[in-house]
Amino acid sequence: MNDLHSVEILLVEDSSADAEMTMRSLKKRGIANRIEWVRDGIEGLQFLFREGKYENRPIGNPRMVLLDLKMPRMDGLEVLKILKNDVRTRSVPGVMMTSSREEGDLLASYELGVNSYVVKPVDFVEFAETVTKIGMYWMLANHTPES
Amino acid sequence: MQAPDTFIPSGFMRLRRRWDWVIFAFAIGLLALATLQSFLQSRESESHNRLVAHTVEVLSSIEAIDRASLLMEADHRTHLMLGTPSWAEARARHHEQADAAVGRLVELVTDNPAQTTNVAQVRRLLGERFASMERRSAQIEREGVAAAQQQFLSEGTRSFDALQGAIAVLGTAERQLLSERSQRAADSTLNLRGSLLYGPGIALLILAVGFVILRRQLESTERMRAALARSDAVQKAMLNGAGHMVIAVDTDGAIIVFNRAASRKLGYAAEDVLGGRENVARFHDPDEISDRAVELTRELGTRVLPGPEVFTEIPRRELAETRQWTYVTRDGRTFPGQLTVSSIRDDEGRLLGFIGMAEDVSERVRAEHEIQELNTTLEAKAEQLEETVAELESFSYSISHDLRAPLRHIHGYARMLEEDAAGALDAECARYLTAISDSSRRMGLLIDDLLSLSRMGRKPLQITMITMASLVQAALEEARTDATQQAIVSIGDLPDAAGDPALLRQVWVNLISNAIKYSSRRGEDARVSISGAIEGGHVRYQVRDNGIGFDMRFVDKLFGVFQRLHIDEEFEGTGVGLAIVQRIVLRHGGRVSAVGAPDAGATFSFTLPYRGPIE
Repeated sequence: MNDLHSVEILLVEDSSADAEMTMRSLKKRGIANRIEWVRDGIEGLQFLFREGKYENRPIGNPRMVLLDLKMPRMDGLEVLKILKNDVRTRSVPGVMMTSSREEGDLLASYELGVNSYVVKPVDFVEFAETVTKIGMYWMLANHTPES
Repeated sequence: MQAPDTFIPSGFMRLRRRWDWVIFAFAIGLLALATLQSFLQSRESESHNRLVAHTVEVLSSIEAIDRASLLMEADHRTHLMLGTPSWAEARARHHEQADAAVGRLVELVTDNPAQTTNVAQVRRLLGERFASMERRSAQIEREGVAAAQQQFLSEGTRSFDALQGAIAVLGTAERQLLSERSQRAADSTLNLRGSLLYGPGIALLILAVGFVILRRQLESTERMRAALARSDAVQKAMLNGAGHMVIAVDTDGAIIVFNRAASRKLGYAAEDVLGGRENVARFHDPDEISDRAVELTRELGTRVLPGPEVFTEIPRRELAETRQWTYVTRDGRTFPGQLTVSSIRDDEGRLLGFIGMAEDVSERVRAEHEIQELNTTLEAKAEQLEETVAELESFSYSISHDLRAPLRHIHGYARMLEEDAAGALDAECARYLTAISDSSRRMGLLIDDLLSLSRMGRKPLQITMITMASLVQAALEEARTDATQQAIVSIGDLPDAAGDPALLRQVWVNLISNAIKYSSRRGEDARVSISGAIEGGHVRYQVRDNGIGFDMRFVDKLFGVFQRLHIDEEFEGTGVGLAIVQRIVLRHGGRVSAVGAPDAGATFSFTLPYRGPIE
């Protein structure tokens, strides 16, 4: 799975600004260079299961999925539910990123088997650090079994 | 209205009456006895007197014999001296008289054998004497007067003396008898007089005793009547002064009590309903009575007619019954009344009637309706409120999610610009970028605090007993971690209290942070003191600092959201901390207060209900 062209992180994020900041932070700190960014849950699932415009992508799961909670069409919780209920993707770490600290979201995410849960800070410096920490932890420290 | 019989202790009266009869019978008997005795006494006395009279009659007969025999003797002697036959005739006449007297005497003394013998003796001697005289007369005719005189002298007076003697015996015996009988008659008269005296005496005594008893009886009756009248008056006053309607009926259903409240409430004058002129069903809703009759018939298993029986059937079974009824007044108005009916019974448990006491419960029923309406309204309001709260929650969620994202982007791009174009920007432009970052970060904090405030208001309280000293210690450490300047903090007595530990910890953190923050300008002289005390039913906690204080004119603004008394640059903060403190304390049933003066420090206090030491 150490294919140079394989995707290391799948970022499912409807906000282009958040996506840009997330990717900049991860790249700038050298956590991941190959990041695939999709705009919502539908696209995210299409990527994961090689459907639609992704049916020709090379085989292989990303090493981590960063999910925004609130998105149009299909939100992060639904993606997580499908991700964790499918044998092909069950072992991929899913990290929920959200603007909200509301308990409902938190509990729902843990019930669905989220591997990490982070609230995006307003402060960019904090934001960058948080994203970096998540990347470091799940990309480098934690080796997940190959699917 | 009837006087209640039970007021007189009837058992006692019956006893009195029985004794009265005994005394009366005894008196009558005594009087009868006295009368009888007087009667017997008088009869006895009468018989004694009769005997005396009889004896006197006997005596007079004896005297007549004596006189006639003496005259006969004198006639005989004169005849002897003169020899004339006229004296013989006189003598014979007197002999007839004597003999007749003797004949009467024989009849009179038949009851007395001794005297009968005596009288027989007299009769014989009289006959012999007279026979001897006849013989002398015959001698005169035959031999002449002288021979007769001679013969008379020779014969002497022996037979005459014997006659005289026998008459004397007779007289003496009879006189003796007279004396005895007179004595007995006198005694008997005396007895009669006595009995005549003591009979009426007893009668008088009985009369006197009877009078006294009667008098006492009358007095007691009078007292009882007065007591009855008083009790009657009291009862009347009670009945008429009562706010409840009081209606009583006898066993025939005739109304015997109808008090003033009943009259006032129902619109009938007492005299129009008393004594069977109306029955109690008249004051009620007929439909309700029919329904109740059906119900009672089913419940009791006997037919209950839709009339006054519906009120008395259960009390008749010796159970008081309380129910709500619809009353109908004379002019057709209705009102709800709570009626309690009980039976009226005498000492032996005999049913005399029923008494009902009813209260107009319109007010209560109306109040209940109002409460019901209020409840309905409140429930609707509560539902609305819940909806509003839900809306607010979703609104705050949107704020949290939607407002934070653009802020993050503003801050992010400003920082990226700062990072990437650091060398190309002059100092002024760099400062602008910093200002953009600061403002967006600050707005983020404001939003976070607002959300936290709303969470504090919604989260259910988890009340437990809190060891306040440890809670304050933990809060102090947290406050110190965030603070840039450190004050000297002293902690005094801190009574324990009941509350939600997580929320109260937030209160302490906010108050201690404020105290440290606003006293920071004093540098090493900054002092914060924390203490608590029990005051009545509350525990009061306070945090005092010697910082910049505040103007008491603005004390009301302290606990408002986003209210800050100091300009932003001076001290960090969003102005939500004290609002959170107030929200939490109010939810615990406590109060917050603040005292301060510019540059003279501030004291923030809050109270919690004191629930006593842990058991």
